[in-house]
Amino acid sequence: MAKGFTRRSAMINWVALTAAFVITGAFAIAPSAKAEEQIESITWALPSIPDTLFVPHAWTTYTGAIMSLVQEGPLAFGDDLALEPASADKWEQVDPTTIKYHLRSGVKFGDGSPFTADDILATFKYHMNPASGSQLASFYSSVATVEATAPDEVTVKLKAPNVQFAYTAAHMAGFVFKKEQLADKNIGTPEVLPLGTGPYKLVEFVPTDHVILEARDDYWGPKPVVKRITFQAIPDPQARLLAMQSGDIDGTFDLAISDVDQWKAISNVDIVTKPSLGVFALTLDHSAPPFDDIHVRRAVAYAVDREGLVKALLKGNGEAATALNPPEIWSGVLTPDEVRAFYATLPSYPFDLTKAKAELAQSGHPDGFDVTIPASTDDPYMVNIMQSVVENLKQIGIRASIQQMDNNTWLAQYFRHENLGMQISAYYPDFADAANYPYLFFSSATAVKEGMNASNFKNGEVDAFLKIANENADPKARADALKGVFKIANEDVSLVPIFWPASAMAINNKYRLTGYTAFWYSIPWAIRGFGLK
Amino acid sequence: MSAPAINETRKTKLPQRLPIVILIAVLIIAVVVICAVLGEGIAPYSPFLQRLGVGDTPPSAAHIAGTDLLGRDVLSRVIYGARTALVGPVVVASGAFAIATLLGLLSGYLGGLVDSAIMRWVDFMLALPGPLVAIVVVGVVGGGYWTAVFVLVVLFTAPDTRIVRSAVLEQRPLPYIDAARTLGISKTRILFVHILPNVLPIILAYVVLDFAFALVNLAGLSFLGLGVEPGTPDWGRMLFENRNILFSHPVALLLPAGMIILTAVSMNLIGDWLFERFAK
Repeated sequence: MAKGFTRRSAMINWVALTAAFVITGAFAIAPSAKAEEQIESITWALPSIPDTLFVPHAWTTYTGAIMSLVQEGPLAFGDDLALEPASADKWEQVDPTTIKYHLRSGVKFGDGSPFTADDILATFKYHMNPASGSQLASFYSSVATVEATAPDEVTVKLKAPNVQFAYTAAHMAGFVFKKEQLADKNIGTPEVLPLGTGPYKLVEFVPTDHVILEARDDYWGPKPVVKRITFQAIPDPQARLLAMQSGDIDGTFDLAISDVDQWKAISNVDIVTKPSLGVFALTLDHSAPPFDDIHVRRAVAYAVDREGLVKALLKGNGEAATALNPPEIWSGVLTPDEVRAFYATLPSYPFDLTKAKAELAQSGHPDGFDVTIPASTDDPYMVNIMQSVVENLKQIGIRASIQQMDNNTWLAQYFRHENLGMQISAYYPDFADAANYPYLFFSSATAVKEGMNASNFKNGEVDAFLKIANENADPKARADALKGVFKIANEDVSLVPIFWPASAMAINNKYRLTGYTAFWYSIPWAIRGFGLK
Repeated sequence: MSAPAINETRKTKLPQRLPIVILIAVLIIAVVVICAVLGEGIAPYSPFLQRLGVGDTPPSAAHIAGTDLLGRDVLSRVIYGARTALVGPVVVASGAFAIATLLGLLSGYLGGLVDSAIMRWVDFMLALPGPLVAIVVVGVVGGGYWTAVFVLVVLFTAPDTRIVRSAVLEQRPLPYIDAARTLGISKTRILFVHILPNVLPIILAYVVLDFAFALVNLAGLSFLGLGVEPGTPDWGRMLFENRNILFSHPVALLLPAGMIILTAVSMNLIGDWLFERFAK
């Protein structure tokens, strides 16, 4: 007699199945349970530890790597580089010149005191006060007023529409200080360690040597996995590498891409790379011979072996640039794939010495000319890029030479904005806004002393497009305007983009850090997917 | 009692054999000179030829010493780099030698105010930290390799002047100088026809040592980015450019480093040998 399907057998099967699910499920979730295990302490190396931890007076990426775990702004950069809530749980662009931040309730500083609208006011006004000497004052240059419009609301009024101001609240420039501390002249010293609303608090600071942080139990956000973080200054890259190899440190930021192969050779280390959003480009002075000639500019553009430079210098950790903006910097306006599709429609100048020679022959300088290009010896790529470019230019008849100099001298001559000729420029942004680079390098307003537009590129249509992109928050309107800018810029060879390098960090391979981004110095990286593997 | 005297006479008449170490040193310098003169003619590739797609590669049959970051053949650049390794130090050594000889002769023979003035200048120059002065001057003035060469000429002149002066002071009280003075021979003739040939061996020994020091100094300045223009095949510059591939392709760094050491040590050995042979 065949066994019938009874309620009892169904019950037995259900219990058996449930038990099987519980048992297998327990195994299945075991790794994630492990990932949430608390880590007692890690040691992180930085090339330098500042002599003060007061960000307005020590605006460096290394100060940021420490203080982004202690302090936070009303907003934060997400893993996709777009803005997301932080100590403000929401924000609103009321009109083109008004932004309102609504404070998250229950947020406390590291000493347990409540976070208030007055703290945001005091912080913003500190940066805006010229007497403060804040190195981040320029982030607030477009602000007209800032006031508390409710106990849990801060309203910022801008002098004119400026889409880029929104990023200030997520940048180091937006890290909120406790109002009372800002009045203390010793803030940032070991005696007056800055408080913040971030996931960690400072417990020890020996200027230029090390900093120790401890996780906060009362942080409003995710509970930090690592209880104690020690930042140790190790200036020499080789010493950092050996410290990593010996297990003395658990990770470090800001690896030179050219050194990545050496780091990859260490058995206990994982290398994490992400687009840095930086760009290397040649600027060509449109206002004076010989680069006022479009054929000369095209000749130079064709003479740059971008793909080769990415292979040779970046070991593939980067991308040959077809335009000024890296695709990822269009975050919130276009996706990287949409950007690449658009770039494919732009006039391009792939490496081709035959075409370069032909363009030079059509120019007003068919027999070539002499040009000297300044380059900073402190940058890991500039001199090597120029060695390649100079050799290629020599082959088409342009007698180029490199004038190497220290970084301060190089910057001074760049911003002096005189006898610009050909310059090599390297730039890394403070936030991912698609209009940032085009404004800096293509706007008539920046073709002046202290301006970035070393090409002296001036075009009324481009300026009009940039105005739309800078003042209009609508992504489509911005995308259309910026597409117009890039079309003109590439047609006119406003500059010659070279490559977009990646950003790299090293981490002991028993850990993971999934939230590493180009803005590692402005985000609470230790709670962005940090944990045991 | 006479036997030792005969032996001594025989010994001085026998041609002295070149010590094996000196012979090797001379051979090394000869190879460097050949590389400097023939340069691109004997290099397997153009030292400027880049293969960015290849990048830095370890030694292989095609590239015996591998390639650098820009895919340039390391061996070809080392061969071609012998040119800057020789030209600069030769100019420094000969320039310092010429000026120091003149100043040393005047100072040692004329004495008095001239001697005091020259020696105080020498004291001042010797008080300066030479390499640091070179770094500062070349860094501020710019101009690269030839500025560095000029600065080293000035810096090397001071110690050489003191050495020439000492040698002249040894000669001045000797009877042949007194005789020349008695015969009414002019000071210029006494200095350049009578004293100079007698101090020349010492000076030449020091010139060779100057060459070795200049080679190391110029390589150091190039390593710091203050020497030759980027792209120029130069041993010091190669150390700088290839330092990042030390662990992956050590030959690219060790070969130019080895050439600097071998050439400098060889010149030092030759200089010491010349000094032993002629100056004592």
